[in-house]
Amino acid sequence: MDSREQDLMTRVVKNPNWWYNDHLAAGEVLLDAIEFYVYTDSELGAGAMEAGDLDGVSTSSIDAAMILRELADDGYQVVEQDLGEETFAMMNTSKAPFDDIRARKALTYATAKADYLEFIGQGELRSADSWFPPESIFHNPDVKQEADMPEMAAPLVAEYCGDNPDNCTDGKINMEFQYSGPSVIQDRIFDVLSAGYEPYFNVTKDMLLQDDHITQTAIGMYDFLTWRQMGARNPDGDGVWIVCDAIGVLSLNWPRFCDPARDELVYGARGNTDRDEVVQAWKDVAANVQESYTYVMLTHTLWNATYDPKLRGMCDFKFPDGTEPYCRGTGGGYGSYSTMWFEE
Amino acid sequence: MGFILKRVAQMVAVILAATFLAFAAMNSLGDPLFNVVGFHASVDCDAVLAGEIEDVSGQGGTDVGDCEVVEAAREKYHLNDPLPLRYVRWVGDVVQGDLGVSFKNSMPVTTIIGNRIPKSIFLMVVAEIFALLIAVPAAIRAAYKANRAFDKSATVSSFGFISLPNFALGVILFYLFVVKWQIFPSRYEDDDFFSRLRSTVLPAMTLALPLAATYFRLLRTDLITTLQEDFVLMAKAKGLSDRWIMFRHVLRPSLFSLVTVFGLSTGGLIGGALVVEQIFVIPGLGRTFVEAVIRDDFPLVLGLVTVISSSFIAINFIVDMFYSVIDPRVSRET
Repeated sequence: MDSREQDLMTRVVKNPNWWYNDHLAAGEVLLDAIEFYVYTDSELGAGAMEAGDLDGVSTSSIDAAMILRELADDGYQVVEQDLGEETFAMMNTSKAPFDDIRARKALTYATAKADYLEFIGQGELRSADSWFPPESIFHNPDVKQEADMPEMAAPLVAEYCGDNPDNCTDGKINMEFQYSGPSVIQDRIFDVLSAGYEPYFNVTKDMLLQDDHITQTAIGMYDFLTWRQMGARNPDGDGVWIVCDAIGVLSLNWPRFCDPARDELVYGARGNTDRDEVVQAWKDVAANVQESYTYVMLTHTLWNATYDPKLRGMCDFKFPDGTEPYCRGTGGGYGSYSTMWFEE
Repeated sequence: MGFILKRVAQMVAVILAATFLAFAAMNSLGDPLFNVVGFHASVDCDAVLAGEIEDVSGQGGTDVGDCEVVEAAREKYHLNDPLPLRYVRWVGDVVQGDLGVSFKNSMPVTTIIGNRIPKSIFLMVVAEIFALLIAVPAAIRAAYKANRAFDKSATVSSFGFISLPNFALGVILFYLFVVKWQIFPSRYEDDDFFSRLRSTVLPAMTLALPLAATYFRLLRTDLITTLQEDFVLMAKAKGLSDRWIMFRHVLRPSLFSLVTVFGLSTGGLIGGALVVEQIFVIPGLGRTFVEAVIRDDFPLVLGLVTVISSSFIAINFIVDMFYSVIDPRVSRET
């Protein structure tokens, strides 16, 4: 790292001793330096791309993506994919109220997913049922995300509050909805989801700056939040987020939910060389995750990566048979900053 | 001299009141301990001391138990002391130029503010210059030609700019001057004075246009009132030119409202240009302030309150001094 000004810019320069160098087909890092700029408003970031102030931009904002798509007509390389990451809500099972599956089920049923897709997804985001999009070989078609069934939440809430009056007020379960901000889109998400939960949950807003939001999540000091993760092409890479070993003071298993049967599936798949059995194991993991009611899958996150017409080495690779690899957006794909170069 | 000393004493009293309120509010609304030691603070040390639960050593990669970490933090930041004593200690440090250390990144508050304040002050100065350059000539012309086409169109425009929130104005200017015409850069550039100035033009205009509209309305009204005074009629009767009358006899006594609002708005711009800083990605004080409040970063919040309130009061003190320059009949003693 050459220089950094917080909230403005970070400049990285070529490191001749980079360990990964030898593994690259190109054999070297091609650019001398790359500057990463902060745009707190994604749409203005897209505007900066349009104005020619940037050589590349990556965003998961639908509003910004809509602006960036129009640049394709001017020769910009606009790549969109929703195969690399999932957007979901999750619950902390290590503390009340979501240590009780009835509360988790009630919240799942009361999730206003249709409203989320309409108001947040704006008709552009695909609804997710599990971590795997339908295109994935690991996709389990039997796993369907339950939501928009508030009538099923009512008896569960009544039963839970009967047994746990301390965790309820006026017949509703008390819960805290943590999110990162200040952010207009996160406020919108809070409003849309809370509207669905309000009849059954007393929802308290807890907005934190993003680094604090992540820290609180890692140390298990939250009830409920939305998150973006998973979607690795090789799901073994996502095993770390769900296994029992990842639960500790600092936990990567964010919901802190341990199921030895699930671990068996994850570790069994890792040590297995039979492709069909590995695929089946991960389909079983998806079903197991759904039955735990710790996540509410919302959408397959749509990433837009837009590059200057002269930028090469990110999304213009071809395999020997002429097919193109999955372009890097997030959660995998070919092409990286070290392979980037500019055509004269 | 007596007047100045009295005003300085008032300034000190106001700064003390503002910082004490901030100090008390931050301590009442959040837990300073959590911001210092993070998850260690969640351990019930009273229960540990009573032997009801066990202290867990080595958590978070440290070799010490949670309660030792908590106690060390309490000691270091004097969190066991009563609030007034902590405030007095803090004031003592401030007098010696020590605003403390940020809870979040352990950097001295003076360093953080020192990095940010030049950008905010530069933005404020450029915005005020633009506002005055737009408002004063427009108000003079409108006052001379009251109720004529220019006056009416300027009045309508000024209402428009006053009504338009600056986040909307900022986005409109960004679209026109950055995206469409590509005249200004889309982000803050800090390479040299000219790059700084160039990248400050749009955010400054975003702040300046509503300010200019307010200044225009005040100055126009005061100028029209002054132009109806007998001494103006006398000057005209003596055959003095309109330009001479305006700049020699009318403008100065009409500046009172403008100068008062100028002082208030300038003070407000230090640390108050949050939205504009967000839109144009300027790492200034406004953004730092909001983040510090959300994080409950007490030392940084208090440092910012001290700097911003001091600046606000100092600017208004200068404005008070300026009244007697505008009109010598105004005595500093009154």
